Amino acid sequence: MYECRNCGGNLKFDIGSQKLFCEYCGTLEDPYNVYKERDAEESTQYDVTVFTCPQCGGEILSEDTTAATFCNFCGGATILNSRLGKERRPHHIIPFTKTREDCRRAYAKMVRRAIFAPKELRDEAHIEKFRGIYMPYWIYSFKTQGMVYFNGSKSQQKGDYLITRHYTMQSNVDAVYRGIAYDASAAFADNLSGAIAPFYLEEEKPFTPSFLSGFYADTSDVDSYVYEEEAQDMVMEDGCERMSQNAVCSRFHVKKGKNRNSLKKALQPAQTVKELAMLPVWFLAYRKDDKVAYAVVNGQTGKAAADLPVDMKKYMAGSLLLAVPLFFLLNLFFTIIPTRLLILAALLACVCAYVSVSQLSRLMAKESGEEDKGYQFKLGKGGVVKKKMKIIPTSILITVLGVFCPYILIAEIFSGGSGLMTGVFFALAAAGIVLGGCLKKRRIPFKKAFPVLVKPIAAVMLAGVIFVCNPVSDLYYYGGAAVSLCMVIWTLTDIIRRYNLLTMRKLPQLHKRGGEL
Amino acid sequence: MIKRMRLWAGIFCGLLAFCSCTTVCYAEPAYTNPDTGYQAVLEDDAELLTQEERLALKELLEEITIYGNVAFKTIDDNYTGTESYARNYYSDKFGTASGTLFLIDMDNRIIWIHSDGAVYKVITKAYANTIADNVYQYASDEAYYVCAREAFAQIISLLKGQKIAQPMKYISNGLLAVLLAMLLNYGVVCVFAGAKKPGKKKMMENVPVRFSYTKPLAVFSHQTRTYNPVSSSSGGGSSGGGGGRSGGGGGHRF
Repeated sequence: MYECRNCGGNLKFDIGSQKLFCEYCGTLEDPYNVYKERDAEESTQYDVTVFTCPQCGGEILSEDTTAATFCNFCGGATILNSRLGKERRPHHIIPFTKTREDCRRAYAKMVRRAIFAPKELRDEAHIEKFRGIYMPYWIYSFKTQGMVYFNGSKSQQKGDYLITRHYTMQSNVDAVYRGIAYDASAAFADNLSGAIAPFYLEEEKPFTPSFLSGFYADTSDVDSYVYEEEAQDMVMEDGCERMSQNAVCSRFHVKKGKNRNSLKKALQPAQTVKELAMLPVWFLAYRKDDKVAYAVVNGQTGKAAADLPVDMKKYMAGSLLLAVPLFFLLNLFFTIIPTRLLILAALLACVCAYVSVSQLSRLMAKESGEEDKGYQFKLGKGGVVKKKMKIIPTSILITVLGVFCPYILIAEIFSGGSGLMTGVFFALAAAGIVLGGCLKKRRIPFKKAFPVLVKPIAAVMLAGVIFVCNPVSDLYYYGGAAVSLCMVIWTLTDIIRRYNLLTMRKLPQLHKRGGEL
Repeated sequence: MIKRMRLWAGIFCGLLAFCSCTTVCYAEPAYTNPDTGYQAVLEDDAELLTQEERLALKELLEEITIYGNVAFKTIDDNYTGTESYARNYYSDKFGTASGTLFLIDMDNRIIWIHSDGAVYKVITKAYANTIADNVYQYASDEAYYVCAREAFAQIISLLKGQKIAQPMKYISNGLLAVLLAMLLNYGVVCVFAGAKKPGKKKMMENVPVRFSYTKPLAVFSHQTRTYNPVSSSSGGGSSGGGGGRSGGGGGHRF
């Protein structure tokens, strides 16, 4: 707590004036002139009150000793345990410039577009819980100076031979990249921190703890090396792009293949500076059952991002509403014969199966935390993701769309699509989805894939069987199509449920920072 | 001699009369509507109808000649597809004039409705399919006359501007509409999903950069030679284009 020199009241940082403000006597103070005794010491650490959530173990820092009454990580309303602690002192800070009101407006604007979001997300009482938090970020700066050497080549066809003349290219490069920011908190998801980027670092100021007064801060628990390679790679790619646009470089095909790799390698920064900075973020948690969704607003630019789950009732009502004009539109232009209806139903089931496998793959990646390097670091994997999980559905897409779909579109749909070949097609498509999607890569265990795929695959297989039997009566086709379409609708509701699982997060205590209960 | 000649003449006339009578049984002479000039043709080559049924059907066909040409054709053997047979037959009979044909192909067990000209604007491919769907069951039950009668009755209804029942169309479209709406809404959900991590290029856009370099200098290092035979084949040209086709229709197995 910072005391007002006039009345002894609590000074808090005022966004409008960018100064510390006493709400009792109205005194304004420069943050650099007001400090507690311990702040004055030149140290790599600073003293702070650490609040710990008894429910999730999430930790949040404050200059204030007033009890915190809810946890912004798990959304739980509880008195947080407090203790005095020491934290790593950041180099810089960007103070909040967007007020709570600005934040609410930005959030409301974003939520307005999310028409299927639960109504609780728009609730005023809920939005009131936005909390200003300084998030720790690693700021990487790179410098490359001096002569760089890379490869170039020129090729010419002579008879049956390709003659390639190889060159060593040289250029004197002076490159400085200042301020590539990555969040240094394992609790702050990479996708959220990325979504509210950028922060304009030219407005940063040297850190002093008094800026935190009236706000909270998150702990920095991710080491600087975690994102260093990624940031460096971005810089090298950028330099590569800039240089390969040069006329001489393009004449010597520097942009292509191995030449490009040699240029990229040549542009490896000679100097790297890593600094810890506190950047302003408005933070809100929405808790439902054992899941939590976050909303964040950039406290400097007002850019908002959020996990936006879908309210199933709203989604279904919206779909039925949209179905009415679509129904009239279809009736105007569309008369479908039963065989084609069945083909359409089976194809839609294939699409749903593809989306389902894709979601399952992403869900597994999310649960393993491989999309979040900070989280990986916290799990003890050092933030180095050995190999990114191959997106399994690509193989299905290539198989189904590349091989079978042209056939079905040309041969079957235009001929009315009945008979053995159509049946065989759907049987193969179903097998392709199951084998290509689940078993081939051995990434998705069968017991996980089965409940997800059983409905769409059953719809596809049913269509296949009907086409193989090739009955004359339309009743079989209509019946098969009706069952398949119902399966597809059922699968779509599953897809929405899974979407919510992807959007929301497990409560932090289940996977975060080894919180003590 | 004269008697013998009369006898031969009598036999010849008798045979001729028999032959013409036989033909009359299966191919009713074309009726031409005196007001519109449109024709009605009934050729029951597969002998699916009785004489009474043919006469009854002919009356129905004559009613259609108010709107266009009309033909009823049944066949036992077909070495081409039902659709192309119908198209060729119609073209032979009426050219590109407006009209409709109902064909029962016993070889492929398919009924087919083909229309052209102004009639095709009413009896569209979609309606031809709907009518065929509505009547194929009669053909399956070998009630060919009822099948043809119902088909022509529905054609007349449409030509008179009335509606025909299409319950399955509405049920199918209803289900499809719900499904498409759900898919579209899922697309909306994905598009407006809140948190999306920006790409590397996007991230670099806002990073202050100072990047300068001198003009690259190329110093020859070495030369390599790779066997790379050039393909000498060339693509063949194409010439001409197909003639335009008018009309169309739909059918159903039975």
